[in-house]
Amino acid sequence: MSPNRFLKTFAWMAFLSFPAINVFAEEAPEVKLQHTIESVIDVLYRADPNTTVEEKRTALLEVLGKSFSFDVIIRRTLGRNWDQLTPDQQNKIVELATDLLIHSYTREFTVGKRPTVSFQKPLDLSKNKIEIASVLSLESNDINLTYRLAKLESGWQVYDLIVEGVSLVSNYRKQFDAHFQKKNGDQLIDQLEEKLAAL
Amino acid sequence: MKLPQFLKHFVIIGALGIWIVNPILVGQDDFLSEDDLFADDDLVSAETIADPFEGLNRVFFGFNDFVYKNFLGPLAKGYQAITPDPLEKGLTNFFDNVKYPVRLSGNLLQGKVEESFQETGKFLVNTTLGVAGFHKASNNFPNLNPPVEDIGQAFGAWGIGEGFYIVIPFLGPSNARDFVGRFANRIPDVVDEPWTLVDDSTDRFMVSAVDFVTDSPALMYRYQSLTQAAIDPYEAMKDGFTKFRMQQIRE
Repeated sequence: MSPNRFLKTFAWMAFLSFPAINVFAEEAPEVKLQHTIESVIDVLYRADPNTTVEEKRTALLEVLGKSFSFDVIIRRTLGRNWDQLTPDQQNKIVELATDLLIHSYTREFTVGKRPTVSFQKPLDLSKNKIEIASVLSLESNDINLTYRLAKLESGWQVYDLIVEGVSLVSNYRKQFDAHFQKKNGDQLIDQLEEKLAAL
Repeated sequence: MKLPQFLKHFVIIGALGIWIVNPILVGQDDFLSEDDLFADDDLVSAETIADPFEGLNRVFFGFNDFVYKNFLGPLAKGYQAITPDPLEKGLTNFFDNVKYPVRLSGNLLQGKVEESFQETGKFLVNTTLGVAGFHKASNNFPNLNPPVEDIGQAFGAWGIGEGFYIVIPFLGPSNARDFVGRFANRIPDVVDEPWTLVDDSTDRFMVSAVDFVTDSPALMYRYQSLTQAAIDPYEAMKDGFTKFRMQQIRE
Protein backbone atom coordinates (compact mmCIF):
# COMPACT_ATOMS: atom_id res chain seq x y z
CA MET A 1 0.00 0.00 0.00
CA SER A 2 1.47 3.35 -1.00
CA PRO A 3 1.75 6.01 1.74
CA ASN A 4 -0.90 8.08 0.04
CA ARG A 5 -3.38 5.21 -0.06
CA PHE A 6 -2.57 4.25 3.52
CA LEU A 7 -3.34 7.78 4.69
CA LYS A 8 -6.61 7.78 2.76
CA THR A 9 -7.64 4.46 4.32
CA PHE A 10 -6.69 5.69 7.77
CA ALA A 11 -8.70 8.88 7.29
CA TRP A 12 -11.77 6.85 6.26
CA MET A 13 -11.36 4.56 9.26
CA ALA A 14 -11.03 7.45 11.67
CA PHE A 15 -14.01 9.22 10.14
CA LEU A 16 -16.24 6.17 10.33
CA SER A 17 -15.09 5.11 13.81
CA PHE A 18 -15.82 8.39 15.60
CA PRO A 19 -19.61 8.13 15.59
CA ALA A 20 -19.44 4.52 16.76
CA ILE A 21 -17.12 5.35 19.63
CA ASN A 22 -19.14 8.41 20.60
CA VAL A 23 -22.34 6.40 20.76
CA PHE A 24 -20.88 3.80 23.10
CA ALA A 25 -18.38 5.82 25.12
CA GLU A 26 -19.84 6.58 28.54
CA GLU A 27 -18.90 9.52 30.70
CA ALA A 28 -16.56 8.47 33.52
CA PRO A 29 -18.66 7.89 36.69
CA GLU A 30 -16.72 10.41 38.79
CA VAL A 31 -17.15 13.09 36.10
CA LYS A 32 -20.87 12.38 35.81
CA LEU A 33 -21.28 12.44 39.61
CA GLN A 34 -19.35 15.68 39.91
CA HIS A 35 -21.59 17.33 37.29
CA THR A 36 -24.68 16.13 39.15
CA ILE A 37 -23.49 17.46 42.52
CA GLU A 38 -22.53 20.83 41.04
CA SER A 39 -25.98 21.03 39.43
CA VAL A 40 -27.63 20.20 42.78
CA ILE A 41 -25.73 23.05 44.45
CA ASP A 42 -26.75 25.33 41.56
CA VAL A 43 -30.42 24.50 42.13
CA LEU A 44 -30.10 25.02 45.88
CA TYR A 45 -28.15 28.26 45.76
CA ARG A 46 -29.38 29.94 42.60
CA ALA A 47 -33.04 29.21 43.13
CA ASP A 48 -35.28 32.21 42.68
CA PRO A 49 -36.82 33.20 46.06
CA ASN A 50 -40.20 32.90 44.36
CA THR A 51 -39.57 29.29 43.41
CA THR A 52 -42.18 27.05 44.96
CA VAL A 53 -41.26 23.95 46.93
CA GLU A 54 -42.79 21.83 44.18
CA GLU A 55 -40.69 23.54 41.47
CA LYS A 56 -37.54 23.09 43.52
CA ARG A 57 -38.39 19.44 44.15
CA THR A 58 -38.95 18.83 40.43
CA ALA A 59 -35.65 20.53 39.57
CA LEU A 60 -33.75 18.51 42.19
CA LEU A 61 -35.37 15.24 41.13
CA GLU A 62 -34.44 15.91 37.52
CA VAL A 63 -30.83 16.70 38.39
CA LEU A 64 -30.35 13.93 40.96
CA GLY A 65 -32.13 11.39 38.75
CA LYS A 66 -29.15 11.44 36.38
CA SER A 67 -26.86 9.85 38.97
CA PHE A 68 -29.09 8.55 41.77
CA SER A 69 -31.29 5.50 41.45
CA PHE A 70 -33.97 6.34 44.01
CA ASP A 71 -36.00 3.20 43.27
CA VAL A 72 -33.01 1.07 44.18
CA ILE A 73 -32.12 3.18 47.21
CA ILE A 74 -35.65 3.10 48.65
CA ARG A 75 -36.11 -0.61 48.04
CA ARG A 76 -32.81 -1.27 49.76
CA THR A 77 -33.88 0.82 52.75
CA LEU A 78 -37.05 -1.28 53.03
CA GLY A 79 -35.24 -4.59 52.58
CA ARG A 80 -37.38 -7.58 53.47
CA ASN A 81 -40.27 -5.28 54.45
CA TRP A 82 -40.81 -4.43 50.75
CA ASP A 83 -42.63 -7.71 50.13
CA GLN A 84 -45.14 -6.96 52.90
CA LEU A 85 -46.43 -3.95 50.95
CA THR A 86 -49.09 -3.80 48.23
CA PRO A 87 -48.02 -2.31 44.85
CA ASP A 88 -49.93 0.90 45.68
CA GLN A 89 -48.19 1.18 49.03
CA GLN A 90 -44.82 0.51 47.38
CA ASN A 91 -45.34 3.30 44.84
CA LYS A 92 -46.52 5.76 47.45
CA ILE A 93 -43.66 4.95 49.83
CA VAL A 94 -41.07 5.30 47.04
CA GLU A 95 -42.51 8.73 46.19
CA LEU A 96 -42.60 9.97 49.80
CA ALA A 97 -39.32 8.42 50.92
CA THR A 98 -37.57 9.90 47.85
CA ASP A 99 -38.68 13.35 48.98
CA LEU A 100 -37.46 12.65 52.48
CA LEU A 101 -34.09 11.38 51.26
CA ILE A 102 -33.64 14.39 49.00
CA HIS A 103 -34.38 16.65 51.95
CA SER A 104 -32.00 14.73 54.18
CA TYR A 105 -29.23 14.74 51.58
CA THR A 106 -29.53 18.33 50.36
CA ARG A 107 -29.66 19.62 53.93
CA GLU A 108 -25.94 18.93 54.11
CA PHE A 109 -25.37 21.47 51.34
CA THR A 110 -27.49 24.33 52.54
CA VAL A 111 -25.61 25.73 55.51
CA GLY A 112 -24.17 29.21 55.00
CA LYS A 113 -22.35 30.21 51.85
CA ARG A 114 -22.16 28.08 48.72
CA PRO A 115 -20.00 25.05 49.57
CA THR A 116 -17.24 23.54 47.46
CA VAL A 117 -16.86 19.83 46.79
CA SER A 118 -13.71 17.87 46.05
CA PHE A 119 -13.76 14.30 44.76
CA GLN A 120 -11.22 11.54 45.10
CA LYS A 121 -10.50 8.84 42.53
CA PRO A 122 -13.02 5.96 42.41
CA LEU A 123 -12.24 2.86 44.39
CA ASP A 124 -13.36 -0.55 43.09
CA LEU A 125 -15.65 -2.39 45.51
CA SER A 126 -16.32 -5.28 43.13
CA LYS A 127 -16.60 -5.83 39.38
CA ASN A 128 -19.53 -3.46 38.89
CA LYS A 129 -19.46 -1.41 42.04
CA ILE A 130 -17.30 1.54 42.95
CA GLU A 131 -17.00 4.04 45.77
CA ILE A 132 -16.20 7.73 45.29
CA ALA A 133 -15.19 9.69 48.38
CA SER A 134 -15.76 13.44 48.48
CA VAL A 135 -15.30 16.26 50.94
CA LEU A 136 -17.98 18.90 51.18
CA SER A 137 -16.40 22.09 52.49
CA LEU A 138 -18.95 24.24 54.28
CA GLU A 139 -18.34 27.64 55.81
CA SER A 140 -17.64 26.20 59.26
CA ASN A 141 -16.58 22.58 58.73
CA ASP A 142 -15.89 19.79 56.27
CA ILE A 143 -18.18 16.81 55.78
CA ASN A 144 -17.05 13.48 54.34
CA LEU A 145 -19.56 12.14 51.84
CA THR A 146 -18.89 8.84 50.11
CA TYR A 147 -21.02 7.74 47.16
CA ARG A 148 -21.44 4.06 46.30
CA LEU A 149 -22.27 3.45 42.66
CA ALA A 150 -23.30 0.36 40.72
CA LYS A 151 -23.16 -0.10 36.98
CA LEU A 152 -26.79 -0.61 35.94
CA GLU A 153 -28.24 -0.82 32.45
CA SER A 154 -28.85 2.93 32.62
CA GLY A 155 -25.20 3.59 33.52
CA TRP A 156 -23.41 4.25 36.80
CA GLN A 157 -25.97 5.06 39.50
CA VAL A 158 -25.64 5.91 43.19
CA TYR A 159 -27.19 3.17 45.34
CA ASP A 160 -25.97 4.34 48.76
CA LEU A 161 -24.52 7.44 50.35
CA ILE A 162 -22.27 7.42 53.40
CA VAL A 163 -22.25 10.60 55.48
CA GLU A 164 -19.37 10.67 57.99
CA GLY A 165 -19.30 6.88 58.11
CA VAL A 166 -23.08 6.52 58.37
CA SER A 167 -24.79 4.79 55.46
CA LEU A 168 -28.03 6.54 54.55
CA VAL A 169 -29.54 3.25 53.36
CA SER A 170 -28.46 1.34 56.45
CA ASN A 171 -29.68 4.12 58.75
CA TYR A 172 -33.15 4.18 57.17
CA ARG A 173 -33.18 0.36 57.05
CA LYS A 174 -32.81 0.29 60.84
CA GLN A 175 -35.66 2.74 61.22
CA PHE A 176 -37.97 0.88 58.81
CA ASP A 177 -37.16 -2.46 60.48
CA ALA A 178 -38.10 -0.97 63.84
CA HIS A 179 -41.32 0.45 62.32
CA PHE A 180 -42.46 -2.85 60.79
CA GLN A 181 -41.94 -4.73 64.05
CA LYS A 182 -44.99 -2.96 65.48
CA LYS A 183 -46.74 -1.12 62.62
CA ASN A 184 -47.78 -1.60 58.97
CA GLY A 185 -47.38 -0.01 55.53
CA ASP A 186 -50.32 2.41 55.79
CA GLN A 187 -48.99 3.70 59.09
CA LEU A 188 -45.61 4.24 57.44
CA ILE A 189 -47.25 6.27 54.66
CA ASP A 190 -49.05 8.39 57.28
CA GLN A 191 -45.81 8.90 59.16
CA LEU A 192 -43.88 9.87 56.01
CA GLU A 193 -46.58 12.36 55.04
CA GLU A 194 -46.58 13.88 58.53
CA LYS A 195 -42.79 14.10 58.51
CA LEU A 196 -42.68 15.83 55.13
CA ALA A 197 -45.40 18.26 56.13
CA ALA A 198 -43.41 19.22 59.23
CA LEU A 199 -40.13 19.87 57.37
CA MET B 1 -10.93 -11.38 -9.69
CA LYS B 2 -9.92 -7.92 -8.71
CA LEU B 3 -12.12 -6.10 -6.20
CA PRO B 4 -12.86 -2.41 -6.80
CA GLN B 5 -10.78 -0.06 -4.64
CA PHE B 6 -13.68 1.34 -2.60
CA LEU B 7 -14.85 -2.21 -1.78
CA LYS B 8 -11.40 -3.07 -0.47
CA HIS B 9 -11.53 0.00 1.78
CA PHE B 10 -15.02 -0.91 2.90
CA VAL B 11 -13.95 -4.43 3.91
CA ILE B 12 -10.90 -3.16 5.82
CA ILE B 13 -12.89 -0.43 7.56
CA GLY B 14 -15.70 -2.85 8.40
CA ALA B 15 -13.30 -5.36 9.93
CA LEU B 16 -11.51 -2.73 11.95
CA GLY B 17 -14.79 -1.11 12.98
CA ILE B 18 -16.05 -4.41 14.39
CA TRP B 19 -12.70 -4.89 16.12
CA ILE B 20 -13.01 -1.46 17.79
CA VAL B 21 -16.70 -1.49 18.65
CA ASN B 22 -17.04 -5.15 19.69
CA PRO B 23 -15.30 -4.83 23.08
CA ILE B 24 -17.40 -1.77 23.82
CA LEU B 25 -20.58 -3.63 22.90
CA VAL B 26 -19.55 -6.58 25.05
CA GLY B 27 -18.87 -4.13 27.88
CA GLN B 28 -22.39 -2.74 27.54
CA ASP B 29 -23.88 -6.06 28.65
CA ASP B 30 -21.64 -6.11 31.67
CA PHE B 31 -23.93 -4.46 34.20
CA LEU B 32 -25.86 -5.32 37.34
CA SER B 33 -29.62 -5.67 37.37
CA GLU B 34 -31.62 -3.86 40.04
CA ASP B 35 -32.47 -7.27 41.52
CA ASP B 36 -28.76 -7.88 42.05
CA LEU B 37 -28.68 -4.83 44.28
CA PHE B 38 -31.83 -5.79 46.19
CA ALA B 39 -30.39 -9.22 46.85
CA ASP B 40 -27.22 -7.58 48.09
CA ASP B 41 -26.79 -8.96 51.58
CA ASP B 42 -24.34 -6.41 52.93
CA LEU B 43 -27.20 -4.77 54.78
CA VAL B 44 -29.12 -7.87 55.76
CA SER B 45 -26.16 -9.02 57.80
CA ALA B 46 -25.67 -5.62 59.41
CA GLU B 47 -24.94 -6.15 63.07
CA THR B 48 -27.49 -5.31 65.72
CA ILE B 49 -26.62 -2.87 68.48
CA ALA B 50 -27.15 -4.17 72.02
CA ASP B 51 -29.75 -1.97 73.67
CA PRO B 52 -30.94 -3.73 76.87
CA PHE B 53 -32.12 -0.44 78.41
CA GLU B 54 -34.08 0.72 75.38
CA GLY B 55 -37.09 1.77 77.43
CA LEU B 56 -35.07 4.01 79.71
CA ASN B 57 -32.89 5.21 76.81
CA ARG B 58 -35.96 6.30 74.88
CA VAL B 59 -37.14 8.30 77.91
CA PHE B 60 -33.76 10.07 78.12
CA PHE B 61 -33.74 10.53 74.35
CA GLY B 62 -37.14 12.24 74.57
CA PHE B 63 -35.87 14.40 77.42
CA ASN B 64 -32.74 15.38 75.50
CA ASP B 65 -34.79 16.08 72.38
CA PHE B 66 -36.94 18.49 74.41
CA VAL B 67 -33.84 20.17 75.90
CA TYR B 68 -32.09 20.44 72.51
CA LYS B 69 -35.12 21.83 70.70
CA ASN B 70 -36.16 24.26 73.42
CA PHE B 71 -32.86 25.32 74.99
CA LEU B 72 -29.77 24.21 73.09
CA GLY B 73 -31.21 25.10 69.65
CA PRO B 74 -32.23 28.65 70.62
CA LEU B 75 -28.95 29.02 72.54
CA ALA B 76 -26.92 28.01 69.46
CA LYS B 77 -28.97 30.33 67.23
CA GLY B 78 -28.63 33.23 69.68
CA TYR B 79 -24.90 32.66 70.05
CA GLN B 80 -24.46 32.61 66.27
CA ALA B 81 -26.61 35.72 65.86
CA ILE B 82 -24.77 37.90 68.38
CA THR B 83 -21.24 36.65 67.79
CA PRO B 84 -19.37 38.04 64.79
CA ASP B 85 -18.30 35.18 62.47
CA PRO B 86 -14.52 35.65 62.99
CA LEU B 87 -14.94 35.58 66.78
CA GLU B 88 -17.20 32.52 66.59
CA LYS B 89 -14.65 30.69 64.48
CA GLY B 90 -11.79 31.92 66.69
CA LEU B 91 -13.44 30.59 69.86
CA THR B 92 -14.18 27.23 68.23
CA ASN B 93 -10.52 27.01 67.18
CA PHE B 94 -9.30 28.04 70.63
CA PHE B 95 -11.25 25.34 72.50
CA ASP B 96 -10.33 22.79 69.87
CA ASN B 97 -6.63 23.62 70.33
CA VAL B 98 -6.88 23.40 74.12
CA LYS B 99 -8.09 19.78 73.79
CA TYR B 100 -4.73 18.79 72.31
CA PRO B 101 -3.70 16.66 75.36
CA VAL B 102 -6.84 14.51 74.97
CA ARG B 103 -6.12 13.88 71.27
CA LEU B 104 -2.45 13.23 72.00
CA SER B 105 -3.36 10.71 74.72
CA GLY B 106 -5.70 8.93 72.28
CA ASN B 107 -2.87 8.70 69.74
CA LEU B 108 -0.22 7.58 72.22
CA LEU B 109 -2.46 4.92 73.74
CA GLN B 110 -2.89 3.46 70.25
CA GLY B 111 0.85 3.63 69.54
CA LYS B 112 0.29 6.12 66.73
CA VAL B 113 3.70 7.76 66.84
CA GLU B 114 3.51 9.64 63.53
CA GLU B 115 0.04 11.00 64.32
CA SER B 116 1.27 12.03 67.80
CA PHE B 117 3.99 14.13 66.17
CA GLN B 118 1.48 15.57 63.70
CA GLU B 119 -0.89 16.43 66.54
CA THR B 120 1.93 18.08 68.48
CA GLY B 121 3.07 20.00 65.40
CA LYS B 122 -0.50 21.14 64.85
CA PHE B 123 -0.76 22.35 68.46
CA LEU B 124 2.55 24.24 68.27
CA VAL B 125 1.71 25.90 64.95
CA ASN B 126 -1.79 26.91 66.07
CA THR B 127 -0.56 28.17 69.47
CA THR B 128 2.23 30.30 67.96
CA LEU B 129 1.37 31.28 64.39
CA GLY B 130 -2.33 30.90 65.18
CA VAL B 131 -2.15 33.36 68.12
CA ALA B 132 -2.99 31.11 71.09
CA GLY B 133 -5.09 28.85 68.90
CA PHE B 134 -7.65 31.42 67.74
CA HIS B 135 -6.56 30.97 64.13
CA LYS B 136 -6.16 27.48 62.66
CA ALA B 137 -2.80 28.14 61.04
CA SER B 138 -2.27 24.37 60.68
CA ASN B 139 -4.76 24.38 57.78
CA ASN B 140 -1.89 25.70 55.67
CA PHE B 141 0.10 22.52 56.36
CA PRO B 142 -1.57 19.45 54.82
CA ASN B 143 0.56 17.09 56.94
CA LEU B 144 -0.75 18.58 60.16
CA ASN B 145 -4.25 17.18 59.89
CA PRO B 146 -4.31 13.80 61.68
CA PRO B 147 -7.66 12.11 62.48
CA VAL B 148 -9.21 13.27 65.76
CA GLU B 149 -8.52 10.73 68.50
CA ASP B 150 -9.74 10.27 72.07
CA ILE B 151 -9.37 7.66 74.80
CA GLY B 152 -12.64 5.89 73.98
CA GLN B 153 -11.27 5.29 70.46
CA ALA B 154 -8.07 3.90 71.97
CA PHE B 155 -10.17 1.43 73.98
CA GLY B 156 -11.89 0.43 70.72
CA ALA B 157 -8.54 0.02 68.95
CA TRP B 158 -7.41 -2.28 71.77
CA GLY B 159 -10.30 -4.55 70.88
CA ILE B 160 -12.67 -3.58 73.69
CA GLY B 161 -16.22 -3.91 72.37
CA GLU B 162 -18.70 -1.04 72.53
CA GLY B 163 -20.87 -2.87 75.05
CA PHE B 164 -24.46 -1.69 75.22
CA TYR B 165 -25.96 1.53 73.94
CA ILE B 166 -26.86 4.25 76.43
CA VAL B 167 -28.36 7.71 76.23
CA ILE B 168 -26.98 10.12 78.82
CA PRO B 169 -29.26 12.94 79.99
CA PHE B 170 -28.14 16.26 78.45
CA LEU B 171 -25.04 14.69 76.84
CA GLY B 172 -26.74 12.37 74.35
CA PRO B 173 -25.77 9.01 72.84
CA SER B 174 -22.93 6.86 74.08
CA ASN B 175 -22.08 3.24 74.86
CA ALA B 176 -20.53 1.46 77.83
CA ARG B 177 -16.98 1.74 76.41
CA ASP B 178 -17.23 5.42 75.47
CA PHE B 179 -18.92 6.24 78.76
CA VAL B 180 -15.77 5.07 80.56
CA GLY B 181 -13.63 6.78 77.90
CA ARG B 182 -15.46 10.05 78.56
CA PHE B 183 -14.26 9.99 82.18
CA ALA B 184 -10.75 8.97 81.11
CA ASN B 185 -10.69 11.96 78.71
CA ARG B 186 -10.96 14.24 81.72
CA ILE B 187 -7.56 13.16 83.05
CA PRO B 188 -5.43 14.84 80.34
CA ASP B 189 -7.95 17.70 79.86
CA VAL B 190 -6.34 20.97 80.97
CA VAL B 191 -9.67 22.40 82.16
CA ASP B 192 -10.87 19.42 84.21
CA GLU B 193 -9.37 18.08 87.40
CA PRO B 194 -6.94 16.60 88.53
CA TRP B 195 -4.34 18.41 86.33
CA THR B 196 -6.41 21.52 85.73
CA LEU B 197 -4.72 24.78 84.77
CA VAL B 198 -7.76 26.72 86.01
CA ASP B 199 -7.54 26.95 89.81
CA ASP B 200 -10.86 28.46 90.78
CA SER B 201 -13.90 26.17 90.48
CA THR B 202 -16.19 29.05 89.39
CA ASP B 203 -13.73 30.01 86.65
CA ARG B 204 -13.57 26.37 85.63
CA PHE B 205 -17.35 26.22 85.36
CA MET B 206 -17.37 29.41 83.27
CA VAL B 207 -14.72 28.06 80.89
CA SER B 208 -16.65 24.81 80.48
CA ALA B 209 -19.88 26.76 79.91
CA VAL B 210 -18.29 28.92 77.20
CA ASP B 211 -16.78 25.80 75.61
CA PHE B 212 -20.23 24.19 75.59
CA VAL B 213 -21.94 27.24 74.06
CA THR B 214 -19.18 27.52 71.46
CA ASP B 215 -19.73 23.92 70.47
CA SER B 216 -23.54 24.16 70.50
CA PRO B 217 -24.07 25.13 66.80
CA ALA B 218 -22.00 22.14 65.62
CA LEU B 219 -23.78 19.86 68.11
CA MET B 220 -27.19 21.03 66.94
CA TYR B 221 -26.20 20.65 63.30
CA ARG B 222 -25.10 17.04 63.86
CA TYR B 223 -28.19 16.29 65.93
CA GLN B 224 -30.60 17.75 63.38
CA SER B 225 -28.73 16.15 60.51
CA LEU B 226 -29.56 12.72 61.88
CA THR B 227 -32.97 13.28 63.37
CA GLN B 228 -34.79 15.93 61.32
CA ALA B 229 -35.65 13.70 58.37
CA ALA B 230 -35.86 10.49 60.40
CA ILE B 231 -38.92 8.26 60.73
CA ASP B 232 -37.64 6.99 64.06
CA PRO B 233 -35.13 9.56 65.38
CA TYR B 234 -34.10 7.28 68.25
CA GLU B 235 -33.10 4.43 65.91
CA ALA B 236 -31.49 6.90 63.49
CA MET B 237 -29.32 8.34 66.27
CA LYS B 238 -28.41 4.95 67.70
CA ASP B 239 -27.24 3.66 64.31
CA GLY B 240 -25.62 6.98 63.36
CA PHE B 241 -23.65 7.34 66.59
CA THR B 242 -22.46 3.70 66.55
CA LYS B 243 -21.33 3.80 62.89
CA PHE B 244 -19.65 7.17 63.36
CA ARG B 245 -17.61 5.86 66.31
CA MET B 246 -16.75 2.69 64.37
CA GLN B 247 -15.36 4.81 61.56
CA GLN B 248 -13.37 6.97 63.98
CA ILE B 249 -11.81 3.83 65.48
CA ARG B 250 -10.98 2.45 62.02
CA GLU B 251 -9.17 5.66 61.02
